[in-house]
Amino acid sequence: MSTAVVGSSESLAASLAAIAAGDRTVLAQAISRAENSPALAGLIDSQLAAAGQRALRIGLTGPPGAGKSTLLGAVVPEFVRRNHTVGVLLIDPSSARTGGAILADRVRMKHRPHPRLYVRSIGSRLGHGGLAEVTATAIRLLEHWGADVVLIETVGAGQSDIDVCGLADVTMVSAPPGLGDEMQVMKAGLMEVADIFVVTKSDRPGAQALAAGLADAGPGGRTGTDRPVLLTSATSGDGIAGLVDLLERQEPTPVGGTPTETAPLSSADQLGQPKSAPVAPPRPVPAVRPSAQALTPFDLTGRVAIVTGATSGLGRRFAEVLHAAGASVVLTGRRADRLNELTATLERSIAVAGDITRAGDRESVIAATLKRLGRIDVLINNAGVSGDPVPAEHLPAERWTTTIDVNLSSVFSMAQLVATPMLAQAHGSIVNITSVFGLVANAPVMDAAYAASKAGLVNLTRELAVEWAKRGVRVNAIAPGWFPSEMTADMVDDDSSQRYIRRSCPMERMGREDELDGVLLFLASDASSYCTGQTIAVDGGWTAR
Amino acid sequence: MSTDFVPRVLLTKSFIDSHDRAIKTIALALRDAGFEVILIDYEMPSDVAHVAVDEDVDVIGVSFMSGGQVSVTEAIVGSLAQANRGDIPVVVGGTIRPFDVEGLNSAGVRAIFRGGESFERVIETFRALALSTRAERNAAA
Amino acid sequence: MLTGTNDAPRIKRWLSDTAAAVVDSAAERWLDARHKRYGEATFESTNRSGVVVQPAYGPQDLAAKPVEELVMPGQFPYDRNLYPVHYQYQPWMDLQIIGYGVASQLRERMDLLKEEGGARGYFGGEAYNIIFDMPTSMGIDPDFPGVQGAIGDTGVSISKMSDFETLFDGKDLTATHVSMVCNAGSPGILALYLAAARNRGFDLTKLGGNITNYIWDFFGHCGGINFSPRGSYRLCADIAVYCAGVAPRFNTLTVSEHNICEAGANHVQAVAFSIATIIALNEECRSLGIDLDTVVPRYGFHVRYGEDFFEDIAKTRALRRMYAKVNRDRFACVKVGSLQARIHAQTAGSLLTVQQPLNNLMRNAYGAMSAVLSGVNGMTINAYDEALGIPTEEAVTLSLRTSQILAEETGVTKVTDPLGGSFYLERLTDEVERAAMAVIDEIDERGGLIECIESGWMTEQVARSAYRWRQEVESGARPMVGVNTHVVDEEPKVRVFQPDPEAARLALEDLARHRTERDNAATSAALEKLRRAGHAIQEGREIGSVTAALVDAAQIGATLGEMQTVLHEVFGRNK
Repeated sequence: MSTAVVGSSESLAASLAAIAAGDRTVLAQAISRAENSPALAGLIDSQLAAAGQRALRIGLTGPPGAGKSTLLGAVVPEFVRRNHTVGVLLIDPSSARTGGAILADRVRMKHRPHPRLYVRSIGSRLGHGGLAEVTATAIRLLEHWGADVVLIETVGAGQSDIDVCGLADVTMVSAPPGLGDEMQVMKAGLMEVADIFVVTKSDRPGAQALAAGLADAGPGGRTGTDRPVLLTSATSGDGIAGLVDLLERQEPTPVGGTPTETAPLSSADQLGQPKSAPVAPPRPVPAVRPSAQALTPFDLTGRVAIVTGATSGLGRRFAEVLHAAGASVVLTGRRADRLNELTATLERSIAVAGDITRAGDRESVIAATLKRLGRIDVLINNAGVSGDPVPAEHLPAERWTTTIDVNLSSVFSMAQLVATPMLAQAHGSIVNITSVFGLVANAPVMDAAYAASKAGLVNLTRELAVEWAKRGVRVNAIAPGWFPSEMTADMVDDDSSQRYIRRSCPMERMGREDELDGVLLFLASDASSYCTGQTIAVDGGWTAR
Repeated sequence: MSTDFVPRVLLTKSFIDSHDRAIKTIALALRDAGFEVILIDYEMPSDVAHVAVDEDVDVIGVSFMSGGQVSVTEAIVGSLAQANRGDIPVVVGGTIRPFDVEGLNSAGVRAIFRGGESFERVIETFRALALSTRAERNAAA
Repeated sequence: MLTGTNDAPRIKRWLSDTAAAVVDSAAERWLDARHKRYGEATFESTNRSGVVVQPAYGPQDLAAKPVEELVMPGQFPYDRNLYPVHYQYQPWMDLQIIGYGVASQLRERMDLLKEEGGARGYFGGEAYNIIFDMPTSMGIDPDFPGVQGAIGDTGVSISKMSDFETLFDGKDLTATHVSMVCNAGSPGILALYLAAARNRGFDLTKLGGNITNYIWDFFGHCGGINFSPRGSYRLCADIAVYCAGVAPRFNTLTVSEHNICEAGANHVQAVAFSIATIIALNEECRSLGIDLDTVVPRYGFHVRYGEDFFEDIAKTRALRRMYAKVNRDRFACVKVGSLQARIHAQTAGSLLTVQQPLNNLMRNAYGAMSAVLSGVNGMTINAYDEALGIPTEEAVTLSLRTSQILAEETGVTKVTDPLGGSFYLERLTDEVERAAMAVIDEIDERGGLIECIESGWMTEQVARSAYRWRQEVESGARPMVGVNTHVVDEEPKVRVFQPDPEAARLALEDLARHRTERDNAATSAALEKLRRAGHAIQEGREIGSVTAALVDAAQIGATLGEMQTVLHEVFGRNK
């Protein structure tokens, strides 16, 4: 065991002393040992936490081909020139199959050696205690060595980036001009982690347009005004000094603290997880024998779920059920007061008020979730509307449009938005709440728009499910029959309605609120890991005959 | 030795060499054999040693095609010794002429691979050298 | 591919109804017979390029061919040959690679080659294919720290104009074709040569030869000390424009399909990347307002032979066809010279083996044969001992004999494009063209060649192919005699050429003397003028002025390394 050899506290103390004295050989070896031994990494962390030395930690990410290493190759010498002592960590993915990696960022960085510069390549080494953990230890070692600036370059896709950016005081996202680059940035799920956008290769056509686009594209209520967009060219050096000026003005986080939040979203926010302790990514659940243990697939501990329409009866119930199963829950709805009431009763929850038919509001929900909770595992697309019975020939066009907008278009847009982080982490469950009237006609209740929207949702569920099936994101739907809710409040006490229900429903009754819990939890959790594209009717047999 | 050990190797060509097909191919083979391969460009000998120190590699592989085999290898070994990392083994590969061998051996290279060498022998040589480097270093610590 | 009975309508486009019916029936009977005799086995094979090859071909395989491509040699799109008749009128130019030591040492070897009947240029002239040592090839002077071990090692060391004067002392340079294989050092090496010719009073407009000018080199042929891709293209344009005016017979660019193959690319990739190189340079020239018809006729290709006999020929034809079509249709070139891809063939060095090295003689002969059947313009046959180091004199002579046997004994030179009309070869040519066009489309979609170089996409594509090739050799799926099949257990016993260790000392002494004897003030002024010219062309002005300034500086006494330093400062380094 390597830990037995190098983990003794005397040898560690000696190593740390040598590192503090500037010995880069010992520094390099200490990082290797931390990589190979999570136990030793923990020991180093605990020793150095007390020392408390802190550098400005700068994250750099961006889609593949964004010129990250080339940008570093220009930024790093500028920091060195300004008498900083600089540590650089270049993180590249390891092969999931063999654990091997080609670490070639140094080639593109093209820097010259310098006594005040230490550059280290790190393989993401899945299964070695988490990339963020190793990186955090490496950062502490670099600080101990004397670095006052630490730059961390990550691969530009997936959860590891978000984790690693969580370690940074300031995160730069780089993007080159060219067709659809802004989309690439968004697709890679990077819009939310950016504190500074850097448009690289500014001498290329389209650079200005991209910069303008990034400044405008401020989802989550963040705009160019609080996120600078800089144009740089590593070739000509244009913009590099300005970028370093800006970075030098950033403050390292005080000792012992976590990076401060900068973008207030809702007064109702209650933070579930500190940013620097990201939720561990879910691992595939191995097959288990049928026993009491088989219940664990329903466990949502560490997962993050968004519930739309959370101010309605069913939505609220859904949020409570997911929370009870261990999830952190993001509640959305139009009425902030009612959201606040709800979050007050649920400890791991945040509220983001908004109207999901509005694109900006939808993006705010996603932004807030990623910012606060770091990930999205479950989306319950619950928000929906229906109206009074109107014969189809008289249904106003406006009612048609509104209904389709809320019940179908918004649902699709929300699914699209969560898909980015879900696909990136290759894990997620989307549950659409449709209706039995998406499966059969709802006459005599007569709402053609409702029926069409809910039926559309049934096949949208199948389509999304199949498109994303191989990539870890499942999409299913629940088709409730009649349940007590605000939409059905009038029917509960209405005799003719009750007669209608007794006549049409084999169980001759409405559903109870708790009778959706099981299906919801089943579809939201890994219990349904082989189930996608399905619509499960929970209707007392309504659609069975 | 911890089972978590991932061998780290540095592959490079001399700053005055050409044709990097072999080194790229070996890099991929080593990656697929579970190595972390730090691949750098055509470099000056002193830079190779500098990177080897910072990256704490277990083996250095230098590939040659177009001359300077002995003088460049000697310079790399010398720079490593100067950086107190003379313990890192150096192997060479590529176009190694019969008259290069003596100079390379006296420079202290630990293995010579010529064209047509099997991946298996290359990988196993790198692995054995990496393991012994790491074991010695850990024992020293 | 044989498709049976449904091809009749297509065949009818160029055969009579009766003939079409006969062809179709023959194809069908062949399929039946194959099924009866061999069952479900298709006997298809897949080339490394991904092109699928059937066990037999017939007239129906020409059915999809555009009628306008059924042409004679010397007709557009020039896939069959550039000329109406070729070797019957003018044999290929032998360009045996030579280069080692310092100029005076190499000159001795050139004279030996000439005695053996080599160095044969067109129309009784002489031709030399000079390879430089790595420092020279990359534009580094012998006294640069750390390069001494490589001086004269794998090529000749040249650092100043007088070296070329020594090399070609007494020769009529207007009757000597000088081919120079070099990389980032190309602009400076060309300048030293042109300066030497001018200094000796030759008329530069009559100077023939070519320079690789492969200065951006994205396949690692030359590594760290190189130009940025964008700077390289600007420099290529400058050289092309200068030579078009001053040395119009000098070929200013040789796109090295050979190097792309040697880096591991398959034939489809290699053809596509070669044509993409032309597209990128044409776009650069067009953006600078250069009339393409003044520069394009002096571009050429360096193509590799020896991997797959028929696909080698097919790729050559596809390359010529695509070059003609791209330059005419995409760039509106009208001069015939702008549509004709001239090809300098070289056999594959990376396919030569250290094991049983004499086998390499056979490999080279087959590669050279496929080059001849492709109708190439110039020929380099490697020495069989190349895998072991710099060739011995005996090996170089054997390469020359290989070419001479092909030209004078085998009879393959009697007909131009002797394989034209081969059902198989025509079909294979079409398939290579189609697949290569798809790669070019992808490069266009990715924003063009330079973007693909800068993003690392190109090198990744090539490295993957190289790795796959190596894995196939390791597994035995790709047989290599002496390596993974028909292996013998013995140490190779061949004589290996050992470079003269004196070369470094001679080069250093000579350079030191030169630095003291020349006019240093004038040299500095010339280099300053070069820098100003560089900035001007970077701004898109005075294209051609950099090469002019280089030639002036070279004639005054600037060294290769001094000129290269200025160029690197202005045009950016890859490192």
